[in-house]
Amino acid sequence: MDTKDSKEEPEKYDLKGETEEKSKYFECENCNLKVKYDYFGLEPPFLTKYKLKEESFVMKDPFTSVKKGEILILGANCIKCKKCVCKDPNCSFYFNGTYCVVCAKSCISSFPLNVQEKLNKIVI
Amino acid sequence: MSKGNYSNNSKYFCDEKRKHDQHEERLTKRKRSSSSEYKKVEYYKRELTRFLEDQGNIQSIEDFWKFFEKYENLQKLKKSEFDRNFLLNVDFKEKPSVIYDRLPVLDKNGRKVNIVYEDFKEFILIIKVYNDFQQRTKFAKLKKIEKMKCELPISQYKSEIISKLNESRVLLIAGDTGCGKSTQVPQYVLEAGYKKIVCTQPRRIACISLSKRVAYETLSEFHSTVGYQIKFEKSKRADTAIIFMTEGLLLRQASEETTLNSYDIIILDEVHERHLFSDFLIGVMKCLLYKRNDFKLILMSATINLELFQNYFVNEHVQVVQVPGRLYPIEVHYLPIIKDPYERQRNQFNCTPYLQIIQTIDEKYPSNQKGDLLIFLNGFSEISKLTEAVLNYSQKKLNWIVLPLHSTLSLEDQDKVFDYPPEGVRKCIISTNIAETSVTIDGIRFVIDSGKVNRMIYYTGGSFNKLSETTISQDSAKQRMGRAGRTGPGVCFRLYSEEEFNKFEPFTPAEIHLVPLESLLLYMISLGLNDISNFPFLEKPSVKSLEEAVEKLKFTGALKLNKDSLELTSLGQALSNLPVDLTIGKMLILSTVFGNVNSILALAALLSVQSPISQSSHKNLEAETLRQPLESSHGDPLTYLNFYKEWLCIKQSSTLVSRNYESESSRTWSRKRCLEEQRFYEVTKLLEQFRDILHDAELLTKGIEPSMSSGERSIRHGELKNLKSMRYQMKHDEKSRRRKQLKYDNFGECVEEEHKTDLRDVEFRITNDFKKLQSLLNDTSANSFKDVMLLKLILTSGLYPQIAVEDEHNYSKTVSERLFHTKFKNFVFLRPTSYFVSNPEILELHDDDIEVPPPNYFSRRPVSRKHQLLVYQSILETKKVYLVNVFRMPVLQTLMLFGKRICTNSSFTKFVFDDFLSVDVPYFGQGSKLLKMATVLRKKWKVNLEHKLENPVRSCNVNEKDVFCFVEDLIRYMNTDVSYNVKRLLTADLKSIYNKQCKFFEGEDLFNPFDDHFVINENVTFGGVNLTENVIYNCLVDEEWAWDMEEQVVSCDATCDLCGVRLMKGATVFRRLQHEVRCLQQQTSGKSVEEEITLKTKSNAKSFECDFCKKSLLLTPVEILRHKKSCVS
Ligand SMILES: [Zn+2]
Ligand SMILES: [Zn+2]
Repeated sequence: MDTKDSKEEPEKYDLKGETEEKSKYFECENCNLKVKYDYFGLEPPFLTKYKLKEESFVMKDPFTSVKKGEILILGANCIKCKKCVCKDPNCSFYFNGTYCVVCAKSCISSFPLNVQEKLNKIVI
Repeated sequence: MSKGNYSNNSKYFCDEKRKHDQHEERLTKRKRSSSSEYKKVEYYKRELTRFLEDQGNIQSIEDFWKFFEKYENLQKLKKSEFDRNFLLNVDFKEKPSVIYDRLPVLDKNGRKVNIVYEDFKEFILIIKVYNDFQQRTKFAKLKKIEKMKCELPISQYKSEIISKLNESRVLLIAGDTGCGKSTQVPQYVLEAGYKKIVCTQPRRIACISLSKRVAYETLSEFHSTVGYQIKFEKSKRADTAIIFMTEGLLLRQASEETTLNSYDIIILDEVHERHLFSDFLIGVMKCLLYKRNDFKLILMSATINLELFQNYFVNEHVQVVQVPGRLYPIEVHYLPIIKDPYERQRNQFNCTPYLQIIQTIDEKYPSNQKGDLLIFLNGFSEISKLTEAVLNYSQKKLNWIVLPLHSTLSLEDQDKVFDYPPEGVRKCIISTNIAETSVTIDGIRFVIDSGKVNRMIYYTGGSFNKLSETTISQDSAKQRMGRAGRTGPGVCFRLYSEEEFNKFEPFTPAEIHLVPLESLLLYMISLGLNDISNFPFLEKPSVKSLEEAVEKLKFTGALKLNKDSLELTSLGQALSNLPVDLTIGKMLILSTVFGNVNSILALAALLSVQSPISQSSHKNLEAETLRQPLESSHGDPLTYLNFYKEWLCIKQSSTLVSRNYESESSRTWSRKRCLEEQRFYEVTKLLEQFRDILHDAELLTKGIEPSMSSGERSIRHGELKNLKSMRYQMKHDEKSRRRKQLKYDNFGECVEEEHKTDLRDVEFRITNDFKKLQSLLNDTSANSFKDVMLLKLILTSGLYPQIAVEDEHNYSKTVSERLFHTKFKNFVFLRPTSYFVSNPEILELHDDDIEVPPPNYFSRRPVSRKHQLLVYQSILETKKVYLVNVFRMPVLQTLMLFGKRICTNSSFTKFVFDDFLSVDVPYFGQGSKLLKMATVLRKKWKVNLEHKLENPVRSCNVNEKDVFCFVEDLIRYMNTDVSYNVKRLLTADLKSIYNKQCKFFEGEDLFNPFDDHFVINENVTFGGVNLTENVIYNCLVDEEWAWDMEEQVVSCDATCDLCGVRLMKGATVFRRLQHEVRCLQQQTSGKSVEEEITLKTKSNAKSFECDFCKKSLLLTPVEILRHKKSCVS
């Protein structure tokens, strides 16, 4: 019964229909990171308990089994300049919405003080 | 809580907030009034597990609580001035109040769960912060992967690779180890839009590790985008886009075109290694380029001999991308060893030059400057000598740790070279060429290159392997040097001059020039590529080696000539389906005929790995004594089988984490006996692989797993679960610990490791459950003589004509080491670890084994029933020539059963086997009787084999009883008493032993007493007549004693025991045999005996009166001549 136990087979996940689609790539306009993404919007279908507060680029978590229904948020558009930026702390900043680092720095005074401190540490 | 106006969509936000707050107030009031027994959230850790899993989708609960604690502590220190929700881009779909109702109702004590709503809201926030933190970590991981990919040297060539691939059908990518080609190119191609990519690897292990790596890098570890397929395992699904597989497997797919059609990119990696089958694969791909135009070919190699590949694909317009590796500048010093021509031992290995360089390093480079030393030597004995010398040298300062590195070391010991030395100490790795390309060690700053390598070369003509010390190629020299410049600038000391370097051959010769070509040939013919000389080989093999391979295949019975074209026999067909060595393949097939599959699988596996007795066992008396009770007097393979069997026993009786120190672990058991435990793990794996091979070839049904009761099943289930988590933990530990610091220890014996669990042990126990182990154990035991003999017969059938006989002077007292002779190689020794080295008396004839020869027979060679020969697995030539893995067999029975050409005289008293051994059987009747038995058995053997090959699997139960009887017959035959002596033929003898005349059967009765379906025909080459495919009768020049014996028989009247008919004098030996057989046949079929025929004498016989002895005889003219001659002398 247990002869195949040694093989760690990848989890089976039905990707029917999706393989045919052309791959969509997310590209950060700040650092040029380019990654395939699965979904853009507020409520990724594979996320059951949570929702996003802003429209974001999302992929199924590549580091855990698909069954677990986890996601990885790649980035979003800057709420000021609309540029597409990734979640790298050197590329974007979230405070009730995603700001690209340039915009965040430009309106730094509108943030609470200890948020400003954090922002000052980022060197563009 | 500060009410921020930082929000952009503040209106929505405020409305929500207000509603929310009203609801909250109500809740807070209600909860507060209900009870006073509120508890902190942490109090309910256990009760909240389900909640966290289901509502929060949290994977590691333990991890969460750790985070929770830290976060709480941090919050105590600073109070946030704004709603921390603003920092989070994710929220629960439902409101906290709704989720609040989902809390568990009762705690573990059955009391009501009471959490203050305010606390709960904080709890929910922490869950979100925790998730946010997870997001950050994961994103950082993703960034790291991308960054690492960009930093690889090859990434700068990405666009060049893609554009050149689009332009051409064949692309050659040359880059040195570490440039990233193996992991990156498949990804680039995938990104460029190709959908079905296959990438071959020479090593199986690389397929698995590369597919894991590429899956990780393409962020698809948990998808099936990237997979691998090796001989017996695959992880491939319909949506797999990149698949790594072994070269052998792609070759197999090349024969089933439908599979191959599905690839649009075929990548062949590491083509510079020039393995036999990778060269062949390149040829097959070249042909395929013309057959199909819907795929592209990418070759990847190190920057070695690019011209060869470029020229080979010149008509296909090959494009080339060259990627320079990461290499720092390296100083090269030529320090040729000047040998004293008068020194007597000038050919012996001298450690001095190496020690001098080590001393120079000590003097010139301060010990705080890091950098290790790598020394390339040719062989094991050189490595041991230098290891000892360097240890001695560093005894005072203790500033060098010496680590030998060669393929016979266990993996554990090999891994030590990756560990790092303590401060101020350097590693000195003394290695064979294994560290040239296969093993890459970082931190090497100094390289000493001896310029020598032991190369295994197969000699055609002699059929033996020679491990000979030769100079390396220029290319190897460059590779060795390059090892010094991987992590920083380095120094390379070459122990040869620049002139010598220039005289080295430019490249290491490809395998096709070094190994026997049987399996390649067999494979080509099975693919229908019969026109071997016209195949577009990357480099053509020599005509001689091809011819020899054809001969060998014919000898094995795999190939036959049909109207001038080569054709596979059914055995050949079956063998071409088994991806193993020819001899092993034959054994495996036979095991399915005889039904002793498991033992043969184990033996075949044991013969396919390196010897389980470790090289260091030399002169270790204690270990020898411990091994002794397990040794088999039959020889090495059966001894190994006993070791393995016992090892399984130890495994069975010792539990995994042995708290019970009375039962020793299999590791300790092996170490005490100087056995390499690694080999037994390999054997266990290989054994299962062989079983799969047989199953795939439809020669075996999948074994029925011993059934388990539900109790057993659940125990096994629990055990498995336990083992798997253990494996996970160990692998995890291994990763996090990575390199250990080396300890300064002359003997390297780590005692504390004895009781540590062993990852290999865990994996062994995962794949082999107790029941399976037990059945394995029962099946591999060979206790009765019958079992052992059957095993030996099957081995012999695979290995014949690899037999050796003892030198006749072996037992004189002056001989210190016994010598053996094979047909092609004389003066061969046994390996020091061989069973017969410590037990030579087993092969010796004792005084009471030697019989008094019959009158008229004289020979200085002893006549006995106990002559034995050795069957060997291979011949290895190093400084001496050795027989590898030998076992003993009775001489005559073995030769008659397996000899390819059996020649005999007119009275069956003398036999010559395969131009190698001559046997006198000076008792009339014994020879013909044994030969008769042998021919019957051979025929049955063949029929059984063909029956098996024609009706695989399904009918295997039908002839079980037949097989049983057959085995009984075989054993009886092997035990037949027959007295004879043995002589090894020399080249000079071969000129005079065959009579090359065949007048005997003119006008004779052509009934064949050996095989009535075989038409007796003349043999033009040797003389006499063919009685079966293998037996030539009456082709030997008779000696006097044989004449006399024949004379005596022929000149007497005799009465047939069966029919009572008188056989008159003058009836020849052959005629008498014909009568006997015919009589027996008729008796059994119930017919009465037709008399007259048997009474007829030879038609040309005349009555003759001898002038010397005055006898009156009835003789043929030839016999008259003989008689005269014998009378005169
Ligand atoms: Zn970015
Ligand atoms: Zn912006």
